[in-house]
Amino acid sequence: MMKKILVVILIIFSPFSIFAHKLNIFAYYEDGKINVESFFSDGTPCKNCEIEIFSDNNSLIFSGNLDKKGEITINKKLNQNIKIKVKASMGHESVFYLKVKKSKKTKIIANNKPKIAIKQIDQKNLLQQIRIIVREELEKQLKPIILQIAKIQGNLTEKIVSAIGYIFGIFGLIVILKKGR
Amino acid sequence: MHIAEGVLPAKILISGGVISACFTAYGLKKLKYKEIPKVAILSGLFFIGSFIHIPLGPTSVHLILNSIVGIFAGWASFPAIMIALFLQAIMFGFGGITTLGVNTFNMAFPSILAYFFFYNFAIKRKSNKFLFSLSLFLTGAGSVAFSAFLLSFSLFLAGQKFYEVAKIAFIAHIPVMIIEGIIVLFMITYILKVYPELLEKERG
Repeated sequence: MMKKILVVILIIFSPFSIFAHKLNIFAYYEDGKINVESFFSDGTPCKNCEIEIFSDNNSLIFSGNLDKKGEITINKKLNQNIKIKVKASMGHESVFYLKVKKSKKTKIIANNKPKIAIKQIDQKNLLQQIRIIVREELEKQLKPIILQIAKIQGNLTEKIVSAIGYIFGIFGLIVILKKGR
Repeated sequence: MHIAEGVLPAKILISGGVISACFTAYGLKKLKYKEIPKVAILSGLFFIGSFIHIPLGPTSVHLILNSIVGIFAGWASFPAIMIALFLQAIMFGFGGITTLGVNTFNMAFPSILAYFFFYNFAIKRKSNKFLFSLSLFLTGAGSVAFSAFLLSFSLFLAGQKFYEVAKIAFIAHIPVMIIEGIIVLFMITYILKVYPELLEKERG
């Protein structure tokens, strides 16, 4: 019977314990620089953790270490999607897929009039360019908020599990007090 | 349904604290040694219930599940709910330490009333399926409704300006009343079929 109870407890709490040490990665590409930040679910940075970056065809294009803040900025021009892998101690690792938008050249159509070249930009292309710029700006602006949410979510699960532990602990004390009488 | 710090005047906070402390002491005194693990699980269930959010227009409401605590724990629902609310206050900032007494009373008292009136009525009328189901539904829904009423009343006592807020809080919990009524109906019907001793023990 005790063995059964132990197995049930292990099954119930095993996903939580894995999640409790979840390693988060946040990355974005801007002005020829790859910015990476990695932290654990409780918000502590992944200090000096190993980082590897792979190209689309899975070949290693960068290998190094994060700094004390769990961050790194790599000067590298990208024209393809990349895979970022961060390794922490005790077998914890996480993967982040960074999509890189390929820059598209604006079509310039000149008319036949001599000397005056009027640049006409294809309307569809212009809209696409605006979309890319807005998306990139939004990603930059939202970065701290996304990081904060990720940190809060990580904390939430841990806190709930620890609170359940406290509840059982408090009732354990009640058991001791009742038994003592 | 947690009243935050700084909303209620001192006299309501103190009265709520004293009343809840008395009921908690009574609940602990009546709590049987063998029932402690069950009450601990119920306390955990109540704690988790507050994190299950139901989206409702621009806002969201969370499950309360106090009726379930009332049905299984009886008077011990006061200590069970107080411990859960205490941890929610210090770890998540839901409610507060000064409002712990009022919040405990607002949640635990309706659960006990629903247990004594609707649940016991349902068990007595087990042969009549309609009355039985209706009473079980009302155990869940009534418990939340009375909690919402006590919350509104607490806010109303705090001053006229809270009246509108209190009214909204009461209306916002109507979906929770319906959901919890259904949960209690199915849960108790199922337990009565597979493991009725679990409930009979409590009634004894």
